[in-house]
Amino acid sequence: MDKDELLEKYFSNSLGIDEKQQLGDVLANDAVFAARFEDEKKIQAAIYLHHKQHIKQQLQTFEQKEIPVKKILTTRFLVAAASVLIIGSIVAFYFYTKPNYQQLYAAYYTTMPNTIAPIVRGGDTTAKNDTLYQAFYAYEQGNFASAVTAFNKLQQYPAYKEAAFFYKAICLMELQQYPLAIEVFKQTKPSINYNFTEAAQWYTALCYLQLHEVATTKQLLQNLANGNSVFAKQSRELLNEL
Amino acid sequence: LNFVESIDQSLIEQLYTTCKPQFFNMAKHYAIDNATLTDIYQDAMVAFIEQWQNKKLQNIQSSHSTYLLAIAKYMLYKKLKIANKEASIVAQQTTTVWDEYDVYEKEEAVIKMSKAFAKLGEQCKKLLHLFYYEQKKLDDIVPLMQYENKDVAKSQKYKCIQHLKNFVKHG
Repeated sequence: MDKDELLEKYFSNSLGIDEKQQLGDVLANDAVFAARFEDEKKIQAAIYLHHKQHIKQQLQTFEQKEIPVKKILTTRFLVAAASVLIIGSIVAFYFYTKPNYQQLYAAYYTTMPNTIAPIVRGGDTTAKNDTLYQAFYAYEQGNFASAVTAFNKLQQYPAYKEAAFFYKAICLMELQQYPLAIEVFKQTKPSINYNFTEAAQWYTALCYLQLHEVATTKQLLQNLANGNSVFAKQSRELLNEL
Repeated sequence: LNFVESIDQSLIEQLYTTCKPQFFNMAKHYAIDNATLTDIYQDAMVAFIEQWQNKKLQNIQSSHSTYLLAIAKYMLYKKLKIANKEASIVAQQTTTVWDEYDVYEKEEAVIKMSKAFAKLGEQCKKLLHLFYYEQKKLDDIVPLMQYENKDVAKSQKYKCIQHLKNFVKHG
């Protein structure tokens, strides 16, 4: 195979094992070809870089939609900023002595395991079209937005209504939609099949913690701490840290 | 020339915004600032789109979000220099071209060439993009560029490389 062909096959990612060996030999023994090869790899890298910057510009527009930032640096703004900084320092000093809610949330939050429909790899393929399977498959995959859609469908089935509400709310927590998650937890009522009352209270308390509504968090935790559920111990521990 | 025309933009946006909180949540245990995390996450998204465009996602057994998060984790651990079993599995699953080009893209000559590429005419851009980025063989490029035969494609490629080098040299 001639050198041009080897080069073309390298860039089309179609070299066989023997051809890779042949390319290696040519590169080791032909300095001119080796320089040309290196040159073309740099061209490829430059095109990748161009492409990367182009995509990153597009991704940046998603960021801007997420967090609108206005940069107005006038003298008046700087004076105002200095005032805010002084007040902020006082407030920060006050809050410094208070617990860090984000850290507490991170320490106590764990994604609720799927206890409703265990997903088995290579299991019954006929089940894969079921709403129940789709919802919990997406949930276990960490695809929480898709799981929300599937749980919306699942809540129409009376047997799974409570589970669907509960796990949808967990998905919303994962998506950092805490006020919405609280509303959905409120719709989780005990049924013949499932009882998520304590679990829903625990996760609702964590939602309020994220929203810095400490009084409500404490009230919910106190109810759990006085009970006998599996959440009693961790509720007492979290209460002590608040 | 729209490089991401083959992908549904709204799908990318949905994937980007859905997985980002999950990635940040996973990364919160490490001492790394938000700007760097965003940069890593965007690099992962770029790698994901490149895999998608080069049709390397067809062999992936997981969902798109799981795969994107796996790439992001791989890049985070690489940045933090943490050895992780899960990350090494991702690295084995696909050819990690982004690793190889990480080294090149810091070179001044490559940065200059990247800027020069933007100045090329549309035909040259398209030809070089098909060959180096989409990794197509010259035989496959012939009908796409409506050339007469492979020799014409080869000669056009040579001329385009010369144009590119001229732009680098003369600005």
